[in-house]
Amino acid sequence: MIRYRTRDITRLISEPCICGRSHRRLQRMSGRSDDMLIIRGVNVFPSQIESVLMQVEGVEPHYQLIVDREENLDSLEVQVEVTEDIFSDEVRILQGLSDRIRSQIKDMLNISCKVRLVEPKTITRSEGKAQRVIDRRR
Amino acid sequence: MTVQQISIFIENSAGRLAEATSALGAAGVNIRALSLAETSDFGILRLIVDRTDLAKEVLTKGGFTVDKTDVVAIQVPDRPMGLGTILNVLDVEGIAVEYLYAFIERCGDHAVIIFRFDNCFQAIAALTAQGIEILSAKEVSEM
Repeated sequence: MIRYRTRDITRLISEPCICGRSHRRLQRMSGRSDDMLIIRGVNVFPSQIESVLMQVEGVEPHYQLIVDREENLDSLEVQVEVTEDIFSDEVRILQGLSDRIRSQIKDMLNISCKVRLVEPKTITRSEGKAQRVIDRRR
Repeated sequence: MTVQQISIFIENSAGRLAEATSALGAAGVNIRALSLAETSDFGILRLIVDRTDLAKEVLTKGGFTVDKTDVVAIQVPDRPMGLGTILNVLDVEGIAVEYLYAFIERCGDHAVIIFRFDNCFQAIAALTAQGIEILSAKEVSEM
């Protein structure tokens, strides 16, 4: 038997499937252990932030997480590209949007972050996959 | 009776404002009125231009996030209390002004101010009922 260390994070489900199959099953992957960030002692998966953005904006967001250390404390900045779907001519609406993102992340992960709205295409895209996390602590 | 305004999302970084306005200039679009709202992270540039559709096309191609909004161009008597009178009419009707900015040029002996309302049509009805002149998009582009 060969075992692979895939670093996928999942769980075995021993209850039989509703389809009747009795074999043990794997839960949908929640992320990969090497994607996980530890910010002020809290485990954070980029996919969790993505789901908050999805919920607030209603569209698939282009975002980037910037993790840094300021005065011995970890800091998290969430940069979100402003597309035509979420853009408004009123400052109040755009600030409301970033406030909502910030408070939902706080509710979900219990960490404070800074949300910065950026212009489209400012977040670098490498071939195929966008670079979601920039960790400047290392 | 509304006028179309273009709004552009501008990140607070050096040269972005110049790039947006240069793109318009290169396409031969003339800016007639403008206002810039700013926060610590970003700004929103709002413009009234002579060719709205062309302006939007050029800016979108240039990678900017652009939106079109209906605003109202109101003729304001160029004398003390000119603007006050208009704002009082709106206040009595309970119409909120989201923001406003002035046109550079005058229209005869009147100043022209661009108003952004939540509900343009309610505002236009209330103002015209008081004899206040609203400019059409055509009149604004010919100013």
